[in-house]
Amino acid sequence: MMADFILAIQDWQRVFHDRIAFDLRALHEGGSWAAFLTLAGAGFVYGILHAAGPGHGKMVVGAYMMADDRTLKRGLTIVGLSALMQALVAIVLVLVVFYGLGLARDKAEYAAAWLECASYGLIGLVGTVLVVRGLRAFDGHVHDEHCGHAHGPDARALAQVHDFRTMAMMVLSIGIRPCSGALLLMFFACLLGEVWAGMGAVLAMGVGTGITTGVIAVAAAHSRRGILKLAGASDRVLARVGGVLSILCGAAIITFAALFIQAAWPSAPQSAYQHPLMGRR
Amino acid sequence: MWRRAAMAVLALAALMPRAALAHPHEWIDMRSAPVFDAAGHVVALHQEWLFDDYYGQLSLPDFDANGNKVLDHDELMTLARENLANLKDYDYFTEVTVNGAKTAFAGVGDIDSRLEKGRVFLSFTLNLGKGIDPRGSSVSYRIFDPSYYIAMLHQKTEPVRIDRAGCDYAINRPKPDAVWVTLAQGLDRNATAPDDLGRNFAETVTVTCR
Repeated sequence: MMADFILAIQDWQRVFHDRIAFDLRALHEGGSWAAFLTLAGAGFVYGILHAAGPGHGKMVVGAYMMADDRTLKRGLTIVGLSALMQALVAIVLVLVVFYGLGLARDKAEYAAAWLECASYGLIGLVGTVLVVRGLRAFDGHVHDEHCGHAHGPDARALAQVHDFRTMAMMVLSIGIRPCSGALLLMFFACLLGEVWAGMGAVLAMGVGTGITTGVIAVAAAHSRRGILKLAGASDRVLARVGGVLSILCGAAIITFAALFIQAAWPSAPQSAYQHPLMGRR
Repeated sequence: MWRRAAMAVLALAALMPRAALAHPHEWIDMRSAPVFDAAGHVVALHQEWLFDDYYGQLSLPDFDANGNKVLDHDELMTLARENLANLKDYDYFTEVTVNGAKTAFAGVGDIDSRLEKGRVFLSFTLNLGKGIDPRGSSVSYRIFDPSYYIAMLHQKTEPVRIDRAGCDYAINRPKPDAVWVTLAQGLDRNATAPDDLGRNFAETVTVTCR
């Protein structure tokens, strides 16, 4: 059952590989706008589907929306910016490796593996921030923004700076990690010398990723609202429940970040095993 | 509600396992054909490998000797000969069994290579150490990359050709154990695959003759 599922995913992966190879080759040989739109369309659909799969910061954004009583708009801003950053990182990484270090997909993916680790580290920081916020809910500081008379504009400004920092950290933590599909697309585009088309398609992929993650953010925000409505009437209780949620989600994020850093730690690019069909590579 | 929230967090977490750099990284579409001698014995296995688009592009920098950005026939032949020389130590990624026992090989011949719609096509004949009488014995073969860096599967159309009357074939699709599949998913691109990972993803072709 699980095996069938994973094999089906592998088939899809294959379909995608073939699709972008075919589209890029068509573009390379024909050079028409229609060919580019087909390629960008494939990237877009891949972005939507792939973002529903592993990674892509869904967990971070989802947990953030669950844990933090902020506007949905803020969550969606994070989603949008991080998807854009993810696309840009993939583009820059491949360009640097391809034109800077000389063609080597190994190197690009090795660098990507380190970025992945950095991403998990930053995600762990986001988790820590959520836990700290949750703890604060218990000594009455959680509603800073709403009791301006006590703290004055300085506190509000401080809270805003705090928010900006958290948002920036989240965008960075999600966006720093390029997606493998984007790397592959960009890499093949560089091989064929269709750099601009590759960039366009990777950005289209980013839009697709953003849409899926955005839907998840909305869903998480709604389930939080539901939980809080159910939890009770008084602001005090609300703050406490929010605090608990924040701590739980933060702790979950920290745990997973630690696990994934361990799993993702890259091995050296020079493997002892030389593949017989990659003789000179 | 709490349960739903817990489920949501768990689901989000479960989605994390990295398929990002999972194996396989490349694909080969195959065709194969047992070669029969006059007595009707299997003496060789003819194989056609159609590499995916990436393989040719990635081989270009190393094998495009005249720098025209295309792999010409002589360049493709150099690539083919190097590949097959390297594959000798890996039994040409092929395993032929007669009644469950592995058969030895006696080298390759008929090497050819060309581009098919930009994809590298390689064909060769793998000679068996000694001929097999397919009547009354169970003959089967598998062609796979043990490291599963490359997924090798038969093409949908005319996957196996049998040039002998009274013979038929069956392809058994792989049914990899979930553990192996998960292992492949988790493998880093640079990680060394455990021995024979690819075997769990290999198709088995069985040839039966009356």
